[in-house]
Amino acid sequence: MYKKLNNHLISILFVGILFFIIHIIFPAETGEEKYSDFSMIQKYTELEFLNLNSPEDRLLLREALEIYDPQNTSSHDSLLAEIERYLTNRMYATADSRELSQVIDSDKFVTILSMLIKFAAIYILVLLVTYYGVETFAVYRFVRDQYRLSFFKSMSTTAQKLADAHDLKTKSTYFFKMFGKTGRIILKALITLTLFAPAYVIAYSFKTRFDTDSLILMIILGVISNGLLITYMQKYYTFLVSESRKGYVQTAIVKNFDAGFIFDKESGISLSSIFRLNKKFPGHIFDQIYENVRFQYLNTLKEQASFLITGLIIIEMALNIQGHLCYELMQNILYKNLSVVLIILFGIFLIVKMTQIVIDTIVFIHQRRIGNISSEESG
Amino acid sequence: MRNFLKILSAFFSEFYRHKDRYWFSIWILGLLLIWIWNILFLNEPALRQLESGFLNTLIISLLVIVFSTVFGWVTTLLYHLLARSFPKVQIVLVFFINLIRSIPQIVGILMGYVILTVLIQRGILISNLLILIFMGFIIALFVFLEVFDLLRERITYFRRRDFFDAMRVCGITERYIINREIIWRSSRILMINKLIAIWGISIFLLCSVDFIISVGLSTEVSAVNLPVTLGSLLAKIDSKQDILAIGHSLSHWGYVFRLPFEHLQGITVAFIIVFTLVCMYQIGNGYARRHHL
Repeated sequence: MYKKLNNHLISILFVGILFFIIHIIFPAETGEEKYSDFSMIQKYTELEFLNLNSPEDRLLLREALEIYDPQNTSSHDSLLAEIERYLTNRMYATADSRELSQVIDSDKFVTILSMLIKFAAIYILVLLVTYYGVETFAVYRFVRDQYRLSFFKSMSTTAQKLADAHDLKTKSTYFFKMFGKTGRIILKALITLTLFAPAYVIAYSFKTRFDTDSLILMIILGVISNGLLITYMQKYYTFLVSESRKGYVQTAIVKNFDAGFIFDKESGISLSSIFRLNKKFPGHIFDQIYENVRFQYLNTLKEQASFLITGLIIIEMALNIQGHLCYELMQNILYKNLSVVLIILFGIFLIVKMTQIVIDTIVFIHQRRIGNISSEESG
Repeated sequence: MRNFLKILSAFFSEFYRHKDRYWFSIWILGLLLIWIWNILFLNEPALRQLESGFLNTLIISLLVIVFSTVFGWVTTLLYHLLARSFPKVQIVLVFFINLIRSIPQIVGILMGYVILTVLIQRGILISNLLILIFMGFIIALFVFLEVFDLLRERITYFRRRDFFDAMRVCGITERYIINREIIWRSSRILMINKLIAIWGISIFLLCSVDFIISVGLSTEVSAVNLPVTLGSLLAKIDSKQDILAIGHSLSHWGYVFRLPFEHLQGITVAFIIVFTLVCMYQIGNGYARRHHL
């Protein structure tokens, strides 16, 4: 454990020093240097008769270029696009001049720190919610799959019964059953599409309905979007399936251990125990399966946490959620404020490392509890 | 009627049993249907952009698979070579691998795109193909570790089996055993399964990065005209308006029927992204189930 902890601390130190060196090597740019990239439009900004702020003037410029050089339509488009970007950039730079200053004073540092804390708080909350969701839905699916027929089998059985039915009443009953099953599969498909949709697709779909800048919406998007929930639920489910095939489970079943999987039956598993925060299945074989899988999943949790951070960064950046860490990061990349970019990146790196340290510690404690650890590992 | 139903049911249950093939067919069929619909109802320039956006996305994601395989394989060989010959250098390699692991993928790729921009602006990367290759390279750099982890685990597992030492005693080189017997013969199916997952994640990351860049970093990157992808297409103002129309239709139910005609570009792009991600996930699961992984 100490070896792992040392590795994490050395990584943090290494990245810290590396960022500091980058900060020293690449000093801050002056205001003039920032706009030197707009080389394509510099000659047009100097023309007195051309007002780039006017849409009519820009259209006239475009038409003039088309007449002068009809072959290069794409480069004219690029030029117009660059003019618009230059104007937007200049407008934002004026509006946000205080926030986007190069100097990192104590105020700026506190602002970034508060953003980082807010980001970390959202991340922890979403991680806990997704972990609960992943675990609960995987357990629910595992229990349900023990006795439920597959969709096509169930549909073909009902279709067969419909074909065999002689009276109208039975026929209509099976017809409505088929109708209900089809409806359920369509609903399931819609939910699956939503769960796999990137956060920005969901957010823009609802932008006219909700306040997409709200913190709650960000948390909801973090949980349901980007395929996080469904992907890791599948991984947890795979762990459950492979664990349930192990020898000790088969031995326990042969020895008459409780192994019924029908919901809310005397020998089955109650729904309330699946949805509980602290899941326990006393007297049931699944209790042991669940305990073992929970431990195995801890290493995948690191992966889940890393993917979640990626998802949250995408949400903040793609939705332009102002006042949040990743929006600030994006703005500072845009204005080449390297020092702020490095501080924010280091903050995000620290969050990832802290997660890894916490999970490694939990694994270590668990391994020590079950006595599955060598002295070398503990030392 | 009964016989027809039986034949139909047998056909579908057999087709449904191999879920990877089933979902692959759904993906191809779905894309074909969307394409035909767009040919009928979308204007010519938008259709051309959509086609090139989809093709570029597909090419980059396939390049990511190629690069990830190469990086993963080479790093695994290096890892095992160093473990035997230079254990201290191996520690350094593991340190850097863990460092890459600790960088959120999206941040790493975003930084890679900044480098890409600089290379384009300096005229080092000129052709579209080179840019596509570089984009695939950047994404692969942050996803190849999954291949590396898989291969490392497999080699460690097989090294403990008797056959490894037996083959060594027979005079077969370690390189041959690792490359041919362990990786190619015994881990190929697992690797393909991992690569399907990487294909899905690369499409997601690519679309997200391109969307972010087009929305928020326009002065930084778009000025150098990156190849159009589904992500950058989605970030266009008319595509965004099309997506916003979905929200509008939630309160105006009658508007739903106008979506596939009047807001086709944005809805098609968004649907292709989501539909592809769902299909990739299902293909991966089906493949794992078919091979009992």
